[in-house]
Amino acid sequence: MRLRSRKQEKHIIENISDDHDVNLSEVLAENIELTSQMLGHSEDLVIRQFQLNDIKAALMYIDGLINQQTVYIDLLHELMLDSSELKRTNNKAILPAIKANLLSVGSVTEVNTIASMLKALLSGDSILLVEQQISGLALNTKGGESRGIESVTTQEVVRGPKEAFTERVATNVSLIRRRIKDPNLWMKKYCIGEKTQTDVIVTYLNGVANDDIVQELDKRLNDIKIDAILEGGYIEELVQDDTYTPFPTVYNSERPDAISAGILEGKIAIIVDGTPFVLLIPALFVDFLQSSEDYYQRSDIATLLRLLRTLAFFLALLTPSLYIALTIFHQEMVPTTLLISLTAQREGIPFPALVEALLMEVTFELLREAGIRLPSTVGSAISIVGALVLGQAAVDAGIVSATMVIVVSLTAICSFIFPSYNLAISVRILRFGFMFLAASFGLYGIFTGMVFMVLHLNSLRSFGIPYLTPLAPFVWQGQKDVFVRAPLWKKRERPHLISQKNIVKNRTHAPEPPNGGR
Amino acid sequence: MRIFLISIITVLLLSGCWSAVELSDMMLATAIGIDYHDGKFQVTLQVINPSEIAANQDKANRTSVTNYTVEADTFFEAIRRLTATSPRKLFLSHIRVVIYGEGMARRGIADTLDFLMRDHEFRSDFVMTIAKDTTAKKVLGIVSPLENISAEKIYTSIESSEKFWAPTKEVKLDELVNAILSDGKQAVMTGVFIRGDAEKGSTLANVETQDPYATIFVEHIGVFNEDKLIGWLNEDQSKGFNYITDNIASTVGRLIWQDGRYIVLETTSSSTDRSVVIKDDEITITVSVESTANFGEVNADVTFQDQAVIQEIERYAAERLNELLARSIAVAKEFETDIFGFGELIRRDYPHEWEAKYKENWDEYFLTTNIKIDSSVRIEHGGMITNPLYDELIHKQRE
Repeated sequence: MRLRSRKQEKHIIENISDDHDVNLSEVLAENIELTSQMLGHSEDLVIRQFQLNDIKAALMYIDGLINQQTVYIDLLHELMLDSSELKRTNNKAILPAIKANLLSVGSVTEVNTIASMLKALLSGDSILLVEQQISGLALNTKGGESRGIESVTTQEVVRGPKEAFTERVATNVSLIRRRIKDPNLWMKKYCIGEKTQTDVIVTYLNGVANDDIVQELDKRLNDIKIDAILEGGYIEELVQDDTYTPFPTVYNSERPDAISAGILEGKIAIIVDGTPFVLLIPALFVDFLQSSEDYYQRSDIATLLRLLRTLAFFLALLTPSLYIALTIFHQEMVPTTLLISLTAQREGIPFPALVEALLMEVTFELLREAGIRLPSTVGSAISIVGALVLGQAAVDAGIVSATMVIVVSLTAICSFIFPSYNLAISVRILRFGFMFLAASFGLYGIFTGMVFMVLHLNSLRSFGIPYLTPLAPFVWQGQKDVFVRAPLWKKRERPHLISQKNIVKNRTHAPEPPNGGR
Repeated sequence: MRIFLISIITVLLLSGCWSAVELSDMMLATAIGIDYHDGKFQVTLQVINPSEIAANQDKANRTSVTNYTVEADTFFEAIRRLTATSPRKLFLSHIRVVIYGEGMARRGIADTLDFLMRDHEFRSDFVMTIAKDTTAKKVLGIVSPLENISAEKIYTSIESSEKFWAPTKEVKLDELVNAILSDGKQAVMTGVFIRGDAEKGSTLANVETQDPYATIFVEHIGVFNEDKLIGWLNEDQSKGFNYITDNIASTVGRLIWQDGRYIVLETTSSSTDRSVVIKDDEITITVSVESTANFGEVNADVTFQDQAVIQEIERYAAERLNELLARSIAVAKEFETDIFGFGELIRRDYPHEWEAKYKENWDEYFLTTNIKIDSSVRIEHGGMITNPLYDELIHKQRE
């Protein structure tokens, strides 16, 4: 047996890919050399060669991707010290024998080709190669450093679980599994991204989720041909129904309870490795106005909060445009005393109402953006500057009127009320459009804009489900969980249209005192 | 898509904010005063001086409102001519009051109403009034204390005095026009007048003292025949007028009890039913008033332990009320004008007779109409104390 020439090797390296693979060689040294070359002799590739009962063997792993405890104690220790049993086995049976007797790790798979071996190696497996064997063993030793489960940062609640998803897909899966202990919670794994080989896990409740949507999602995921998936946002953008819309059609949350609730309603979760936000489809407009806390508080509290959020949606969208429309077109509609005080404040302001509003809104958006990027140690600086610049100084200098400051503050507060950050962004985008409409046509423009917005919302679909469900098409059962949150015992059915099967979810009777309260 | 976007942008840009007016480019008018002077309309517009009204800006010791007066042959011309003297575009939607000078009102106001009704800028919820014994210009010239804008002061005075005192009536434009055009009803308007020195009252000095030199009063109802003012109802007659037209929310009435001592009743609610019967060409109109009242002030020798005493007071109060109403009707008959709208009542109940006979000369028939008044007063509450202090005092003196 002779070693392959350098030229041959180069040829092999260039041609190795999923479609064009090369089998492992019988010569251990050759396999090791090839692996090392394929990885560009990277520093973090560890090749540990040792004698397995007088047979040459090697264990390869990428430092940092493996759990050192497992590799050192469970693998190397066993292989190097307890391998006497292998003496009697013949050459052919040596790998099954190792597999059967020596390896105390959970998952062991056989790898036959360079490409599959590299894939396993790069996802954290250790590879055991033995002289004169044409296949190796990929041992699951995945581990390495990652962030633990921490509390939620974006969707905080007063009452409810505080733990959040992390970047590790296995942790995220376990967080959902722990909540839904049902054999019908099915998971399907995809590996997307030619370079990143990102694990994407689709999970749903079999028998509840709509099969058509599951298939459609499967098709859309399989259609993705991209080199990298670094965050769930990539997947969202590649599978959503409509790109040119300000409204989000895929829901995301870092709350395991919110995602579990969605799965139980028949929705489908997409967990992407490296992303602490899990996606949920299909997403409806009303989902973005609901918080998981709505179900943990009493129903009357939740109803009040939901109505407030709905009000906030319109306020965040329309307050500046209404101010513009009323002050430059429809002065007759403003109560006299209010108009007098508005006029008094506008006195001496050098800008037209639209410019004034734009100035303040843009300043506020800048402040908000700066606030996010700013290191937390200097975060208080921006709030001081913001409060002084936006509020006091601008009014004192006569650049903007005090009312405008109130209007902007109101929109700002309202846009922070949404439980979902992406709807807040949609509203921010649309707000500016409405301001221009108001400045051109007054209330007429605003209402034309509203009509077009509702038309657009009606045309949207999320994986085939109309975006405004259950408002349009109107579903009476669904009204119990839109603007009001009915008591839990009243909500007997899962949302229609999303799942058509297994619709009854709750058979609890209304609670009442014993003996009818007598 | 591209064409759609281009057309949207074009529409936005080309329309160019049609009819937009910035607040800082307009003058808010709050009152119109109309006088007749040397055969011309003399129009006074009261506009707001916003920087003086502003809550927390440095006040430059100027008046809160400015009056512009111009003369022209027609009302509309006069309003437009104002732009020559005023610095900004005039905005008429927030007019609170329209004041006619007494001279103008006696001449006839018909030729000002068409513009007020026709112009799209008016919101037509303003109150129509007459400057009693003076001109509208003078009334608007008074610098009013407390309420910076005198038009606002007149508006709120009429509103609150109608509600709590009763001898005024808030007449809006459409109501006035309906009354003028109606055959079975004549128009009325509340009077506004100046008490004190009008000359001194029109300077800022008026609000620099605790006792203003001049104040604007809202009282008396002006009686119209068609569109011309023909006379005034005094305070009691005005109150009677409001009782008859079922326009009492709350008022105060004084009863003279024994020995010239008095009891003051606070009317808390009142409703009036009016019916008409025509028999043998004789018209009989029944006005029945049901009012409930509280004791507001008792300075007489009565004790309330006995229900009979209260019933006696109720009866006596109803008698007085009947007299009050009868006097109002007598005055209206003196003026030969049916301001109560009894004609409307006949038109509704006897439409054929109305069309055939009464419509043309209703004011004449009104004089011969038989009007029965039937009031009842019910006293509900005695207030926080039972027996009057006066009563206790007398008992103490006797001991």
